[in-house]
Amino acid sequence: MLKMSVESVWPGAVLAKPIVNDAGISLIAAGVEVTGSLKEKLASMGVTEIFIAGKRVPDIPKEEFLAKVDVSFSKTEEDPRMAVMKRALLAHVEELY
Amino acid sequence: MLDAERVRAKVERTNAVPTIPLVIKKILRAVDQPATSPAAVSKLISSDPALTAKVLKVINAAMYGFVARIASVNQAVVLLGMNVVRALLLGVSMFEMMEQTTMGLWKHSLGCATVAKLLAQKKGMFDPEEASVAGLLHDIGKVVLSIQYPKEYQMAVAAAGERSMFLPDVEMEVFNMTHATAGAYFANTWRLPKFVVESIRCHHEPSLTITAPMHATTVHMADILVKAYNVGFSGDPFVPIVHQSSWELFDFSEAQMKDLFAEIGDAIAQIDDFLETPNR
Repeated sequence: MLKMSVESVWPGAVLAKPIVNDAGISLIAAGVEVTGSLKEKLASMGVTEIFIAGKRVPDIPKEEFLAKVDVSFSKTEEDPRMAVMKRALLAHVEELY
Repeated sequence: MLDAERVRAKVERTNAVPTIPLVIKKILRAVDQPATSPAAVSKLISSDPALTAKVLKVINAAMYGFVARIASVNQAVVLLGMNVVRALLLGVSMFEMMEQTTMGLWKHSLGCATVAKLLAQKKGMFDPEEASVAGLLHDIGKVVLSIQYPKEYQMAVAAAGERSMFLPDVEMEVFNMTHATAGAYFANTWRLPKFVVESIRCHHEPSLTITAPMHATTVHMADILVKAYNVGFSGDPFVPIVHQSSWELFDFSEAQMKDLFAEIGDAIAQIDDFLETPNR
């Protein structure tokens, strides 16, 4: 999921979160495609930023991410529960890049 | 090593610290009067626009997944209850005082609030907003100790880095108590809700609480996941072992945990955006 300004959203992008009013009532559902006319409608509603479905590229290189994970788990990875957690995190990192 | 009783007395006197804004002191005093109506409290908070903006910003960020849903203090009091708003108010103003030096801790706390809420939603055990408040304030003891003992606390963090130690172990050496205990003394003095006090006190040892086991267990798990993901900086980089009871309660498979990390990654990216935007 990505947060973007309405004007910079590309054609065909899909809302990852609904647009809600101040009372929390959903006005436009998640999953709706952001077309040109929807952008105009959002602008008229005063909505400037929306959540778009998609993958965010992490802002640090993969090696750096992995090195940090190694340090984080360095004291506890012998523990079976923590070993599971570390494997799950490493699998997630693989999917990120 | 400092004497634990003295540290406790000083921690409990944190409300006398002159840097706590007068408006906060007024509000907290007002809330303690049984005759004060929620409307009167809302009015007091709203009398400080900068504070109002900050509180609403944090409420919307940590509680409502960054979609601005709460537009006024009055609405926050109605939706979340006076006690929760009071806890948030105190937390926000404490962090505000420290913002420059504890940006990493603020990010860690916002991360913990978001993940605690996510976990509570997944388990459907209790009010996710309560999990969020408890997560946000779990490390408030670090803020309190660094306000009351700035030099000693800075040394403790430096020593944890130099000696590759868990920060709570160094805190025991220096203060004869951890930030969890100090934070609970502080929260208790301010008469924060029991689930907040217990989550602060037991976020490293959730089995120690009788009155708020679900909250403490959830905050414990959230704290560890957020540390594993290296969100912000809480004083040391090391992930402690997750408590058996917490592990069993959530009972995540390895695949589920991987998906959970993906959700955490998304949430954290939003926290980054939030922290970079001065006012929303």
